[in-house]
Amino acid sequence: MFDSYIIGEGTVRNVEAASEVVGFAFDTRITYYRGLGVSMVEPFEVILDGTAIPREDLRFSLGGRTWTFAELADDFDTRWELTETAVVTVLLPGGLTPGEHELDVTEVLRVSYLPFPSRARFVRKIAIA
Amino acid sequence: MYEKYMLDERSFQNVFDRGRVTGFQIGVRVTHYHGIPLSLIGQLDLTVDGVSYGTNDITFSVKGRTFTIPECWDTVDVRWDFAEVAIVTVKKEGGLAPGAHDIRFTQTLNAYEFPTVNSYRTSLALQSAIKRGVTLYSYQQEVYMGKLDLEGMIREVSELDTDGVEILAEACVPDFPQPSGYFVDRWFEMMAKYRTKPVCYDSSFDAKNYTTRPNGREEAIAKLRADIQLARRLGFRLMRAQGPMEVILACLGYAEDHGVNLGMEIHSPNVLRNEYTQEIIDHIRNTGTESLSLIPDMGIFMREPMRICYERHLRRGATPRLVEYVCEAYRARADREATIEEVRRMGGNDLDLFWANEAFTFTYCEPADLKELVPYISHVHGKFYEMTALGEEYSIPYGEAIAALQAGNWAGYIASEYEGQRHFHDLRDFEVDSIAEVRKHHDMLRRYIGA
Repeated sequence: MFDSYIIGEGTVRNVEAASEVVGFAFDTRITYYRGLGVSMVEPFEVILDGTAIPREDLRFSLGGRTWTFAELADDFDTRWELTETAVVTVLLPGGLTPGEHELDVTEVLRVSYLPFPSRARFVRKIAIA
Repeated sequence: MYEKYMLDERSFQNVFDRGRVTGFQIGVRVTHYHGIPLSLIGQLDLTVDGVSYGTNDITFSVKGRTFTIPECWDTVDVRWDFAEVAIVTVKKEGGLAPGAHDIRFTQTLNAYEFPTVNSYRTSLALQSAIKRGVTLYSYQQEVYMGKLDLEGMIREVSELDTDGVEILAEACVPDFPQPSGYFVDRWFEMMAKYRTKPVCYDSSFDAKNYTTRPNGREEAIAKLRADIQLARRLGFRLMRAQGPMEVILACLGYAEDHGVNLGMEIHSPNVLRNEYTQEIIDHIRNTGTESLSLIPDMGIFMREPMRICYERHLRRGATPRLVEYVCEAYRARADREATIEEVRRMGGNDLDLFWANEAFTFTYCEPADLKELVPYISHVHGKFYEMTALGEEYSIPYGEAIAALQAGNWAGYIASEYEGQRHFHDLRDFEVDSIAEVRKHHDMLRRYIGA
């Protein structure tokens, strides 16, 4: 549900650190009808132009804090609320090159009453100037 | 003064106790320009259809407490506030017949040195004891998109000319499970402003907080207790609880101490009569507890498979004749494995096979069976997916369910629970209008409840 919010429209952008493009980021929302503790957010599955990004190269940011997904699994205090925007950052030297790209993202939530995690997927074509 | 405002029609209804009609009640306001301590009530006289009820026949309820009239004379620390609706209850086996009744109410107060006597006579319609509510879950689409906030949702409920509010705390309470006092004040302000009532609080059971192990029993009990505390803080007396019976029963005493009833949902894949519900019924019967109950979810009466669900599959490439084949199999209560096998044999694609499996996750059981469960039912989740142009839910026979509840003399809220929105999330340029959908649902409820 709410699949089109997995990659917020118009929010895909390159990210700089110390004047260098270190990767790209996009806004994301929880694909659920209530907020969840962040430990239940499994690593996003990100495929850029057909190539899967290793989960170690992903970061999750919420309310001004950033975690690796390994760290997220151990945070039992923070909640990702229903209406809160989070940011997924993909570490990729040079970021997104100018031109068209295809971003395929799956959000996985370890929901209590399903025997398997809830999976929601969205594919977005983006153009970088 | 204020005679014509004395009587509150919305509170005029029969009184039920576990399926028995024990009397009737009516809402009353004080005929004075400020509130009074109960001790200044001299006499309250109620005449209904020519039959008079006086000091020894009635009880008076205000601020969640009930008093006889002589007890009111001795009560100086409880007030009947200005414009506050208090409830006068009359014991009368069988209650009143449906329809209009001739009512005269006379209030004798001792607010001055002399008694004041104010009287009013009117015709009022007996309200149904089955009331309409909404779980704010129904508006999740609008909340998600930022189109409605908590106050907006509560306003929408009041626009339906009703007062029952149900919430998922984890979808609308900031800083769950311990919101600030500021939020709690605002919550009660909104309840008063829109004349709504907190009817049911939905708690959620978390089992998978940790990657290395399932949540433990103590953790589950701690969470449920936090929910019970928050429910009480927000004025709820009923909770939709979730979790294994072991955890629920471990919290029952705590719930009772906090004045919160734990309602267990009968939700697919469960049906009305199976081991799951029997265990709950047995516990209620064996212990006589008043803190445990059942909440049937109308989604257990899916006579037809969900149309908006398979229409979504069709949009994405499911095969029409195979989708219909599965629907037929569902209606015929065919065997699930045999159906999946047959769809495979007929060349079904992934979506066809997905639908073949999914259709059999819907549940059907007889709505008429609600009647005998009335003594255990505290609340009903009015699940709905699609309101047709004829004003019916496409899959669920609401008329039969409500008739069964009425036949069993059930009193309580049916809270609309709209869950159609997610079946349109694949459409770029279409958004459901949950407000309109809930309105259609209430039009149907009004028709079947008869009020």
